[in-house]
Amino acid sequence: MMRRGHTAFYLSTLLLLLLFVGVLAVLTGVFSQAQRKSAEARELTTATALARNAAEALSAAHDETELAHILRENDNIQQEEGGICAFYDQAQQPSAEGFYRVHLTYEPQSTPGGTLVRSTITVETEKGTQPLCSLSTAVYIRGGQEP
Amino acid sequence: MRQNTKQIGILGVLLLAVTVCLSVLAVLALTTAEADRRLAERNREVTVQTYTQEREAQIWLSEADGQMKSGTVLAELPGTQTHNGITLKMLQGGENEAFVIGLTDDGAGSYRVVLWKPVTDWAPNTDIGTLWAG
Amino acid sequence: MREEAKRSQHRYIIALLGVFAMGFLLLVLFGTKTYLQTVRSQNENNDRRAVLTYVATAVRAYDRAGGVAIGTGPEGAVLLLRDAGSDAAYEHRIYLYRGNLVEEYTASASSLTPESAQALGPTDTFSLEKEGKDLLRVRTDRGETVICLRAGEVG
Repeated sequence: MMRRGHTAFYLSTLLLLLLFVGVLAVLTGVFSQAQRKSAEARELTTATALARNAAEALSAAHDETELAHILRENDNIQQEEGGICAFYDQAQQPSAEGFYRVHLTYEPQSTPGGTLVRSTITVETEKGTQPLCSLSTAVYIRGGQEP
Repeated sequence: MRQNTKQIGILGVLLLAVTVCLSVLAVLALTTAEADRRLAERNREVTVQTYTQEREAQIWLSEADGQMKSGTVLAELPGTQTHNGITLKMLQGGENEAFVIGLTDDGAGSYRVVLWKPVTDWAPNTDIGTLWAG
Repeated sequence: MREEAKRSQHRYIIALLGVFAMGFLLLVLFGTKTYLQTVRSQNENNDRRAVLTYVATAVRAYDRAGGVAIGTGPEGAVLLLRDAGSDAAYEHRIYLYRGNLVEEYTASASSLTPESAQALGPTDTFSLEKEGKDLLRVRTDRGETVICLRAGEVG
């Protein structure tokens, strides 16, 4: 009788312990998910701001060289075939070893009046596999427009 | 034995109370983070949409410039209206969204961009319902 | 013997209580740290969106000849957004005042009234740089926004 009492006691404490471990695991998972979503939101906000700035720089530039000049700061530019790459750190500051990589394609197309430059701007992080932000824009440079 | 049962009972109640409090904190943290992420996504969508409109506007401008170089007069560009010397072109975007371009004649077949902005068509809801039936 | 068994069970309950307390303490620390970080990040993102996106949107809304100019305010540059033409009766002003970016919409001829201006968001710095004729670079401690005027020039 006494033994059964002991067994019941230890069984109930074991159950409590298991419940406790379960609660701990679930809540830790929820908090980790919250941290992850918060980091995603921060990266997305920064990526969108960088993409918007790059698009505005494209609108102001009359050629690819001028575009690189507008974006260049702290040696953060890499010229590539058909485009430019700009790097920024996590505080959105230009940096050669940046966390964010902003890639702009530069596709000029001759038109009767001047040049229509189409561009696709994508922003990725050094650890990401998918671009955080991707937008498509264009700028029309009239023939005879000086930089 | 009864004492042991009481002690286990107390432990169980303690476990339950702390679990409820921490669950509330966990749900609060998760919903805050999710709301922040949704807002960031919405911001991204609006930015992408804005530059899609910008692209369409620039394409129209390049076509219009080509037409003017071929001899078409600014005020006679297809799909435009002229008010107070400004030739306006409205490019429809999504629902209630449009892009307005305003050009003025600079002489000798040239033009100047004087207006370049996205507009949102917003009609205020004037139906306030029956506030008081008395 | 019975006493012995009772004592060992007692110790077992205390140990269990200790394990629970330790576990919950660590979880509370982790949870509160996560929540604080989440809220801080949300506030930063909101401030960034409020300050930078708002300024960019405001400038684009006034993108016309004579619409955008840079002036001088109590703590640095003032962004002046004029209604229509450089001799407009009213203008929208955005500038830094006591750690906040503030705005006011008032008669062009009147002086700045920062005490009654509407706060947009916190920032310790606000600078405006003109590059070329039509590029405006706005820097705050929330980040930087670049705006190219398509219709007007930065005055």
